[in-house]
Amino acid sequence: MPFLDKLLKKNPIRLGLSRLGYLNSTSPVVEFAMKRIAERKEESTNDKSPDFLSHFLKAHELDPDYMSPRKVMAVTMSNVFAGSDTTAITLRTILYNLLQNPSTLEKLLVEIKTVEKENGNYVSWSDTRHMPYLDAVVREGLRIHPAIGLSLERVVPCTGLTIGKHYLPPGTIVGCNAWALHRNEDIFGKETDEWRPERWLECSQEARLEMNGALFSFGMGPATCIGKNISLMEIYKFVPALLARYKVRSLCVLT
Amino acid sequence: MTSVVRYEPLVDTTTEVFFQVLDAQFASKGIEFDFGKWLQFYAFDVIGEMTFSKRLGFIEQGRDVDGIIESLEEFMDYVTPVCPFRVVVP
Repeated sequence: MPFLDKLLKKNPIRLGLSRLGYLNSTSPVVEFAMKRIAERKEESTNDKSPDFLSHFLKAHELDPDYMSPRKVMAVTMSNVFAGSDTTAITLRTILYNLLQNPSTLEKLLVEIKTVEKENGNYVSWSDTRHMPYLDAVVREGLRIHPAIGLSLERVVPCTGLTIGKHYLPPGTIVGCNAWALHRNEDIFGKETDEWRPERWLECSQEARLEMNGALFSFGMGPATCIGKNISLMEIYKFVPALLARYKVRSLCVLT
Repeated sequence: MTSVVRYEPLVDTTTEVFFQVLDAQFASKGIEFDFGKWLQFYAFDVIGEMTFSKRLGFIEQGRDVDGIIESLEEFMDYVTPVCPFRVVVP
């Protein structure tokens, strides 16, 4: 109901009051970001930090018309908002399901031990490339509880579109919800409501390709989640690091 | 994928701080706690570290700094009826 926005947050009276300083509509993250940007401007130009903000500010210097200060702020904010909650949801899903299904946790712990022997510190991103069970656990987590439950709408282009037996005229809004797609037993095998990382390992090469092609947690195609790789790195590294260090126990075991 | 590897050390530094805090506050004393909440603190601080080279401070302070998480939740409550649902059918 987009009209509500005009009545509520984008209400002209509200916006006017906010502009005059009577209402504080600045989000705390914007304030944090503004402080960091101001600090960065005061720092020396030979800044070595490889963070996103330095890239955004460099882009601003190169093309200030396109990468306006407003846009720098917008992309910085998107980074923080889009990248944190979603990753946290997936981490929770994975740990929750591992704890509810101790046999899967056991298998993962065995695999983590084999990797740990090779180097002392945290499991590196490249190490995780050789951890098939961890890979299956992460994929199963992304499958069983996608962080985004929206249908990621797209508009059918002027050529129209035929999906199966259905012709969709240009301008039709189409979408696909990961939650629905990930329950498809033709693709993901039986009992798609169940946590079973093994489904990613026991299947044929062909079936696995199809499952990977239908894993829709980050969306797909040209508009796939831009933070996908960052989020995956965080998840693939954090889960083994945590489980190598702590014995984790759930207080609410469901029966 | 190679480009994200540059950010790997920033994940590691936050993980290290996270584990130190977990050790000091919970593990060493055997205290039970809401780990879901702390995973959120962790995820926010990793992104802060990657974006600004500065953690937002959730882990160190063990709380929702400046109400950032709360404001995000309020935002989500707001956009859910405003954006994805075009119409409501009783």
